[in-house]
Amino acid sequence: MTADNRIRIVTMPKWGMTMTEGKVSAWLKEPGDPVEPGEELLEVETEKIANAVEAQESGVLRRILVQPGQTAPCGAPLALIAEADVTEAELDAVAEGAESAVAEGGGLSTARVDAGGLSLRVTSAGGGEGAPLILLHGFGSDAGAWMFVQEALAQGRAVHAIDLPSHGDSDVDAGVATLEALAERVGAAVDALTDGPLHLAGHSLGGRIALRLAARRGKRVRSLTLIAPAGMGGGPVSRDFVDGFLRADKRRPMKEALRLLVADEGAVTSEMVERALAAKRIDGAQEALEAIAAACLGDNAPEGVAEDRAAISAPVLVLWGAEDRVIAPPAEGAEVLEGVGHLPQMEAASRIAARMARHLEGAE
Amino acid sequence: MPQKTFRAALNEALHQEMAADPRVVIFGEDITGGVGGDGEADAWGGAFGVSKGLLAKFGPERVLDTPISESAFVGAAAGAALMGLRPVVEIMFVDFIGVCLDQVMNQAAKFRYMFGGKARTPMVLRATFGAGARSASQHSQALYPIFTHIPGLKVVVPSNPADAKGLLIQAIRDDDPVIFLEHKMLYDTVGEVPDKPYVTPFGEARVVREGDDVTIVALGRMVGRAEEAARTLAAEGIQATILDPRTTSPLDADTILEFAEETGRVVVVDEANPRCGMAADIAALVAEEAFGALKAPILKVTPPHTPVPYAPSLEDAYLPDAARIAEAARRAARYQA
Repeated sequence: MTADNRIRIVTMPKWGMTMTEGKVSAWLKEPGDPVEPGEELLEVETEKIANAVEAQESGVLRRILVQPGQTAPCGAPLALIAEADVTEAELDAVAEGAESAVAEGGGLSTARVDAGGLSLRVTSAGGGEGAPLILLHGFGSDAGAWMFVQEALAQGRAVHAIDLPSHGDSDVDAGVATLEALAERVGAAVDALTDGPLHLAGHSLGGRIALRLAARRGKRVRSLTLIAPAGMGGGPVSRDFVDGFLRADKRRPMKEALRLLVADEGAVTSEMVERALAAKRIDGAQEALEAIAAACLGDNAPEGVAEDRAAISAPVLVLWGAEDRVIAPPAEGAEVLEGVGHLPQMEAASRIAARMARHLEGAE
Repeated sequence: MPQKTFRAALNEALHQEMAADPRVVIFGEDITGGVGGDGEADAWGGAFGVSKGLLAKFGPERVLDTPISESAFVGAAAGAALMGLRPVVEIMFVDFIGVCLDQVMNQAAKFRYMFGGKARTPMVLRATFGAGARSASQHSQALYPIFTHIPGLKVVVPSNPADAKGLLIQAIRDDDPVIFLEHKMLYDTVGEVPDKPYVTPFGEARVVREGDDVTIVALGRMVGRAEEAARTLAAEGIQATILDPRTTSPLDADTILEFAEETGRVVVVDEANPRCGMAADIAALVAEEAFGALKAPILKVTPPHTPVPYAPSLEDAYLPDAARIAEAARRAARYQA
């Protein structure tokens, strides 16, 4: 949120549909400290998650509006960042205006979209003139995988995160398991969301689907962002992860599988484990996930990648975590983030959001 | 994900399983509005609104009101289950189990064992339980320890809407008799519940939150109160793990022991009477299997060993609340041998 060009308002993030408020647990910077994009400003905790909020811009942390231990609704102003020459009176004026401008509900909404007979759930943020951005999550996940970046990317454009077939709150159908079938259904959902130009981004399996979809939608696709996409790594998709995830029917084996996703294993919470198990226990989901894994994540994963890339004229950004244990980064062709595993959009949310925003702007 | 009440989650489970399997039938007192009366059919959807809409959708052959005779209709359910149906019967208050305990304890629970494994009894007995509704001693008890005591029964005590739906679907698909207990003070609580059918397996505790200082095991309505206590404790610097066993039979001993060993300090919260209750049972399990890891006595937070009082002030004082749970957790966390 920008008050004017010189004062930036840090707001309470909205991490997923059910988050309505968050508690400031600690400030990691003090008033007067200079901050740079990606630096951790404060820690926020909710009933379900605790995470750091990182600075999006550079400047000086001038004023803290919500103290540790206090709770604020999503979208509420938490702090002001400005250069040192901005006066206290100017900060006062912005702080007062910001109090009354709290966005209701933090701006995430969900809808269902028909995708050739399958109903897919779409979580949307933002709006505006810019070409919309479509986000496709990875295997076994859901649109919540984008919760730390979705709102940050929704500046002047709508950002739609789609639950893939047989994932999240979308319909389950083990018959929609091949890359082509998945891309076809997701493409139908995308066409229902917009008939004009768009940006595509995908993570892991979603990255491979985004690549295929970009090849099929031609000039409508203005840019493509691939985060650790399946089929494009320096090695195969980890069987330890895929088989471990598919076999896990209890908390402990699921936790073991999910730990492979992140560089910092302590980041795997009981909430994540519960959600992953619950998703597999939807009627038919286990069979559908097994079919998708067999069709898309085995030795066959790289098939068609070269052809799809050759068919794409839009700029392609490939991002990868240096410590990715699910799909190792390729020797070249990717921007590699140090200290990050297979979930960069969660492990390094601010860096990913800022890098993607630049990529999108450059492609407009 | 859609937000639904505990009541709506149960209602959705019944609708989905009846639509998916024609063998599922439901019966009980007043579940279609009462037999022989001239009032509106299905006006309330049962005494607590859980069976709303089933009569119109599945018809009077699969959704039946019964006379006020638990021994007759629970016995009928056991027989129907033996013959291949999947009956879900409702006892309005679990306190009424007294008049049909033979059908449950000596018949349904014993068929598989006494017929050499050749009989299956896929019945679900749903009932409300618990204090807090100003319903006095005969309509407020938490009797799950009685059922847990009997081999051959599976016993389910959900604490939240999502588990309520998944556990009820599992109960209906299960081939053994299941006692499914719904806390009447939870019906209006709200949580995320997926629209599609799904199962929550029996014998798997939910890790509600993780903390290194103390492990709180709680059931049913006490889970929410334990969460409230954990928030207070967190502000004081004490981090609590909360485990919700979800089913008392089977009981997820592995998860309870895992966290008992990690924290070395255990508090068990139980709404049932303290003698021979789940708190005593779980405390005994931990004492026997995790003794070497314990750093403090295992503490129980339960009501006193009395009937549930009718006087509102006494009923409120009777139930474990967040303050009592937090106090026990503090004692356990700070205990020095």
